[in-house]
Amino acid sequence: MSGAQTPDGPAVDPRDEIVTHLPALRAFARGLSGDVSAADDLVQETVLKAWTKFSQYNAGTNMRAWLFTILRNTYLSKRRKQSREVSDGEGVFTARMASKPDHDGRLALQELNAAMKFLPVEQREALILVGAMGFSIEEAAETCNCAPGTIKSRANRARKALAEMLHLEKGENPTTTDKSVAMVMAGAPNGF
Amino acid sequence: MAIMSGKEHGNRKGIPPSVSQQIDENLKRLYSDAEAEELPKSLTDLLEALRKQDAQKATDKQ
Repeated sequence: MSGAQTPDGPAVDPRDEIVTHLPALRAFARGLSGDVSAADDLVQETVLKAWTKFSQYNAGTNMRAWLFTILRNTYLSKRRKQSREVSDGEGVFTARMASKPDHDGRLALQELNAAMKFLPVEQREALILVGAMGFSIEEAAETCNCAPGTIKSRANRARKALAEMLHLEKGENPTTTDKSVAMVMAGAPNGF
Repeated sequence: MAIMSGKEHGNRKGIPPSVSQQIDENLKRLYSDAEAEELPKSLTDLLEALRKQDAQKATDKQ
């Protein structure tokens, strides 16, 4: 695709905007795949597809949502191919999860990240987009190809599930040992 | 750091807004850390290769 001519002369390739979205795409990919290396592979595939199918992008529309949609669809397609659907396993996780709030912020973030991986992918992506990445409900709906109400509902269900897994909902203040937390973290894939 | 510490009672339909807010704030922190990382060379190399490939195609057409 040739770049558009600007009044000042040099052509500007609209694909140059892609690079500005890569950091957020990488973070989103990590949230979906739960794995740093797989996430970067996913972003590479997304960039390749976006670049080669750029004619399908409508200039002036939301490039971020377009790129995130490509990444999401690529991830879901790979996931289906690999036939490794992971069930929610909420009850099991709730029983295993030991939270250690307040004492170590970094550890708490790791626990949150670990808990995210137990959410169904539909809830996880909704919460990442709306709760973490600043997408509006409408933009997230466009990205996930569903109704805004569905995104809102999925994000709320995700928050509720996380609150339960991390013992936040009932205001519990579990006392845990470093050993129990370490056991949970040792079993959690390293996504961030 | 006050983090992930729910102090209010939830109900069957939802969780307290303060807990939702805590979750979102911590997710933002988690993901902004990832966004702040430098892009891997493999990605910037890929973009460069795609640009060169297109430039070559354009030259071949002329």
